[in-house]
Amino acid sequence: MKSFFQSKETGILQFDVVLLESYHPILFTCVNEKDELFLCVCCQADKEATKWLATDVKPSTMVNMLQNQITIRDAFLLDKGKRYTVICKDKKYTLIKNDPQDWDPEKSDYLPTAGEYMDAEDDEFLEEIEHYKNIMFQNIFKKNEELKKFSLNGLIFEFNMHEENIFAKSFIEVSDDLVIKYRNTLNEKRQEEIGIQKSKFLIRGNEPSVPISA
Amino acid sequence: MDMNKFEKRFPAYFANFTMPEGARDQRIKVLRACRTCCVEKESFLPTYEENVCCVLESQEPDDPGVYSLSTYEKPRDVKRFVATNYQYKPPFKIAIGVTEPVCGPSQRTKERKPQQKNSHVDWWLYENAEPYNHFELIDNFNEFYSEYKKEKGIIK
Repeated sequence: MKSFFQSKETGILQFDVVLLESYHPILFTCVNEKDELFLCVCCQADKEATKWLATDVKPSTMVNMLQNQITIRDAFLLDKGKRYTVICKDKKYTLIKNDPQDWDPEKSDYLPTAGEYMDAEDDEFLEEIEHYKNIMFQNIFKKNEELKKFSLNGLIFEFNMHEENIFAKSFIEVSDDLVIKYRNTLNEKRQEEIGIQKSKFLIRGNEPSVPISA
Repeated sequence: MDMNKFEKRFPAYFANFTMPEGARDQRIKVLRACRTCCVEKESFLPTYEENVCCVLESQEPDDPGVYSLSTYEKPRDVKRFVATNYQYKPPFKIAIGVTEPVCGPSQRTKERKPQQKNSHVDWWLYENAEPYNHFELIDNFNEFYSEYKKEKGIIK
């Protein structure tokens, strides 16, 4: 994988997915050796300098952006991650952490324009969304040893927007109450489906779990 | 004397790269973000000339894309470009036109870079070409984009 930038602070940032490019990547994600995901934008590329903003980001934020649920700017700011400015001028790279001008939503000329969404068409970023969801689930599995023993495809995808919180806390403590609460946020059809799935498995404390068939 | 030989001549810096095999005379409807908000030469400079005939550190010196005029076929891509580039804050202006062969050959970038998913089009311009003569400014890009999405059946 090609490397974008490296430093003691960021680690070695290698290109992950490029979402927009012209003659160079403009909006893209990178991963470092700790598997941290960074969202990057090349906000300036001219005779003055080449400049990028980069921040560590949750894969769920990437999914939200590609599904037009949050703006491009929001994707950079919502997770309140580490914020970097990378500047290349006269062949020298400089890294600045938390530049107050570059990252101030009121003052920055370099953050993506406020209010602009990716405006992704239905099937445009299916592969990329799948990629970020895989990262989400890998992260969840890393936090929960129990989950490595089985896969709950249907239910995991259903908890789409919430799984990081629910699973990170304690998946094996998922109770009927929680499932009922979550079901109530869904439409009728999905409520029925969740009901059926819940009856097929039992995950409580240290009791053995039964995998759901796909 | 073949005057055509002299009329269609690339700038000297084209010696820095090899023209892609797939580059050809074709008319593609494209969009261009206009840095000066006007349809004029300064908004239609090839990337290399925009950067005062320098190859940026982030660029490969033999990449044909460095020496082309960057355009996009699809409005969503030019919209994303202006949203992420600091030089194009509102009120930006986008022009629509055609890659007229009289100005030079062109190529959809993904034809030579299959991993590139977006609609970027490279247009390699002859010396003294005036591509801006084949473009016009879009008055209201948001309206234009809404109409485009309706026509394509993208709006739900």
